[in-house]
Amino acid sequence: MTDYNPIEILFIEDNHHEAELTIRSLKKHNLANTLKHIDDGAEALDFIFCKGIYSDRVNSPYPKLIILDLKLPKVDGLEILRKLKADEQTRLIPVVVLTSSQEERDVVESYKLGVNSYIVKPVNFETFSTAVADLGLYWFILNHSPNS
Amino acid sequence: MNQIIEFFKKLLDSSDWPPRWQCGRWTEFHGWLYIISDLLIWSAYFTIPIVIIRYISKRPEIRFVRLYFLFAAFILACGATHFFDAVAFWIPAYRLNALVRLITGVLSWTTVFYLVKLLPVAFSLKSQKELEAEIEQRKKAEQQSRESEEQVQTIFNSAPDAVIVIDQDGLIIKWNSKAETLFGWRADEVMNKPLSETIVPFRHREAHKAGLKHFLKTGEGPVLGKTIEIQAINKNNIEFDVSLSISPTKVNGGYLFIGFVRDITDRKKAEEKLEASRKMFSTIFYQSPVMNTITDATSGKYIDVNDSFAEFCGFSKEEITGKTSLDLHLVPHPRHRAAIMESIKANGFARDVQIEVRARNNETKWVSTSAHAVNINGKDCFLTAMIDVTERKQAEEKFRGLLESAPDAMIIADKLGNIILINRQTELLFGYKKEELTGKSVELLVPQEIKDKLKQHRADYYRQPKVRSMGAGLELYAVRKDGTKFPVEISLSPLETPEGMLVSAAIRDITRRKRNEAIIQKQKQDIQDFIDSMSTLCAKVTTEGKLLMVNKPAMLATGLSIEELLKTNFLEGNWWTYDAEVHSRVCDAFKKACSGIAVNYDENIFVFGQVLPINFSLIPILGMDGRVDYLVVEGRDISALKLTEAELQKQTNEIEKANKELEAFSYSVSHDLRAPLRIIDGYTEIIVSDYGKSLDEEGNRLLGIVTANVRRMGRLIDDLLNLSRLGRKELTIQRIDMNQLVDSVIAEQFSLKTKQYDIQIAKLEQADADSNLIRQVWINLISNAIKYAAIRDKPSIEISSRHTGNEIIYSIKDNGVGFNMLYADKLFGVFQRLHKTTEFEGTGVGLALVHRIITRHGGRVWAEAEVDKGATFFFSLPSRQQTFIQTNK
Repeated sequence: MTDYNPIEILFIEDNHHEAELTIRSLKKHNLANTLKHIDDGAEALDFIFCKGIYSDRVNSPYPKLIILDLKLPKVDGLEILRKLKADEQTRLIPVVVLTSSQEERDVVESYKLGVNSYIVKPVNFETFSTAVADLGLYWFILNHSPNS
Repeated sequence: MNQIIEFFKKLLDSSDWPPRWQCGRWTEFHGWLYIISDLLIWSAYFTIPIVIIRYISKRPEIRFVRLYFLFAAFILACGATHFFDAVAFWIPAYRLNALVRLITGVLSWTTVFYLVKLLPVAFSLKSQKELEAEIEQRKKAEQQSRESEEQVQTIFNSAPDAVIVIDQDGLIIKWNSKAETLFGWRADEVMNKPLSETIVPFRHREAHKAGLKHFLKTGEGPVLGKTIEIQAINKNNIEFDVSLSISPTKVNGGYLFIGFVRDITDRKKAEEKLEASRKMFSTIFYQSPVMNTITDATSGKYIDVNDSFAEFCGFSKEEITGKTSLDLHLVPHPRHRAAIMESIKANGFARDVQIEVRARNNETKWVSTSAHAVNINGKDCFLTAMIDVTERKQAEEKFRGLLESAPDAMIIADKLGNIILINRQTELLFGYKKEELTGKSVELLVPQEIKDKLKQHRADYYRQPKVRSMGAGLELYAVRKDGTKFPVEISLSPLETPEGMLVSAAIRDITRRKRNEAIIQKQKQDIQDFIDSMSTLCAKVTTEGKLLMVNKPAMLATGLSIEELLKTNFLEGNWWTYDAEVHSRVCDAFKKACSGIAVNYDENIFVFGQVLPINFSLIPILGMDGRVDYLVVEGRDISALKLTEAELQKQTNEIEKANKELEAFSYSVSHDLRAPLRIIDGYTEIIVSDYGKSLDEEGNRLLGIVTANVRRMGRLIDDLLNLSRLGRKELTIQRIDMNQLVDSVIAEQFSLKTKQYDIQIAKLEQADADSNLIRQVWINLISNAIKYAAIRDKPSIEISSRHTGNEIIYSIKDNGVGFNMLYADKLFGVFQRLHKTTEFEGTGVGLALVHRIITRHGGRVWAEAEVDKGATFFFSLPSRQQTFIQTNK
């Protein structure tokens, strides 16, 4: 799993089929070249903060965009978001929540924690695909993040 | 001549004639009668001269002595003739007899001669009686003179002044007892001593002597005949003030000086006293606020008046003096003046006669006048004092006015219970006329049976007169003229008057009040019965904690009798005090309630022998003045409620738990059900895009069906989630401009539609509701209308509203397929559809959602339709006022 290329998009999604569909959409727009997909909340945190199996990544740069599902095993998405936004180093990484949940409390909570975008995955794939592409383009290419 | 000689020669010879016995015929009797008579005459005539001579000889001074002697001789001679006549019976010596007669005759004539000469003189002399009277008088005069001399002596001695008489040499010759006292010298010590050496002070002695000399020489004495004030010394050489008056008297060619000396030390004191008394009078008269006048009794003219009077009249003193009250028009009513005069005439004074007087400025006042007849410097005067009693009069009139305007019957009676004054109300109340009652006893107005009681009351009252009600606690009754009795309340107040103590009684007919009292009593009982029948503990308590009223349950709760309870302070009952904290909380709550704030809280209170949870309220009741009058305490045993509450809490918890599970479920649904659908859709899409060309038409059609159903499933899930979310979402009520909302929804709904619709939107009522939810309602209803009207060539939609009662009804009418009203009740159920999915797509959740939203707003939703003729959907929202009440809940 060791990958020394700088990871520009960290994609945290436990459902591999969903992940495939999302990555497929991003790829269509050439956005998935330096994408890292992690299907576990705890592992995702280890990755970001260079702990556990990712402890050797200490000197690697932080991802430029994190796409986050909320419903994750072990550590859920909101918890990850809280930790990201609480840390001085990771606070400025744009985080986009991409989830099936339309629950208002999830939306509100996410924005409270400082999420940069909240996108409800539509059932319709076409619409979904467009939405994913838009968000990738916006946050990854158009938006000039402070640590880039 | 011879004869004469012869005669004398034979004078004593009786021989020429026989004795008379022989001459004639004498009877013995006749002869002796003659003889004895002559002898008696002779003896008598002989005695008279002896008496006269003897008398004369004894009197040293006697007038007419010769006449007396003549008369004596004449009588003697007469007597001798009668003697010789008697002797002649025996010795007839007629010659001698004749001679004697001759002598008698001569003597008689001589006497006559003298008598004639002296008689006028004799008659001018006082008669014996007169002389006696005169003598008596003289005796008296002498007596008087003697007495008066004694008196002079007495006066001299008892004179109030020292009286000293000196002779012209200045020697003391008289010195009365007062002088002894005054100067200390006894009379015998100073007699014949020079005055100057006894009582004249050394410095005046030369002057005294010189003055005396000067007077004797010239007859002038400047100090004589006057009273001078000078100093004298007494025996002890002590000098003192005297007044001295000296009068000279000429006696036997010399002068005597009588001096009256008076110690004026006392007089000076007396003078001072007099002066003081004069001043006092003057002060009283002039300075007094009482108006004083002195008038001439005869003319009625003012002699003097004081300032008070002058000021009162408005005239100066000078203007008043010399005028009468009539001149000054001071007394407008002559009868007033007459009343005073009559009283003075009858009694010598007038006292407190009230008269009206008019001042110069025509202002009239009432004065109480007292006048006395006095004699001032010999003139009869009236001394008059007047006190302004206008105010008193006015007060009296006011009093009468008050009496009349009093709402109660007022009776003023004297100590004996005799009515003096009553007011009109009394006449009305008792049915008597004023004249019928005045002077009568108040007993007239009292029923027979309590007359004695009344007497006792009156006696008691006079012992301790003060304002109070009569017979407090007793049933008092009065009786009218027609004999009817009625209950009264009497309040008495003492009235001090110059005529003695009077009592004024205010009498009030309390028939109505009694009736009202009975009603109130009944109402009170009703209230008591009412609160007794309540299941809660209830009490009325003052802000001090005094219990005024307690209902039966409360009484039973405390375990005390009503009497014990009413004596117990509310805050100090063992129902709180069993626990210090409970007590302290209650005291705080009580304080808060007393400040006007109603308090309600649950407290554990010791009642019915155990500590029970009581929901307990203190409700302040305000009085007319806006202050807390008393508190209503209500306590409700909530132990049962508490149990129920616990049960309820348990149930709630369970529901909450179930809700949470439901939420978790819907969360799972929203997240977990959508993901597989998306994946199916996504992968199907990949197949279509990547392998679509490899598949035949049927294969693509089948994949199309998969995609359509997946998407339908997605919508179904979304709708269901919406519906469930709505159940939990808080309403945010705000004013909604309904036209604007509807317009925006329509614009949204037609953004993709190409077909032309005839849309009529009336002016819509505004509403207060949750804007997002109402928007959802319109979306669902309008999209439905569009959907079902789409089959028409000319589809139309009409939207309108109306305000009826307290709700606003909105309606949306389309000319679509409509539906059978038989199934109208199924219209708003979840997943209920009246059309086949193949005819019209839909999840069957839309109208359920509408129903849910409108119901949550307190409104209604319904529909009217006919198959193939279109449908009209209605929903109502509460109008503003209704909403207001609801949000308050």
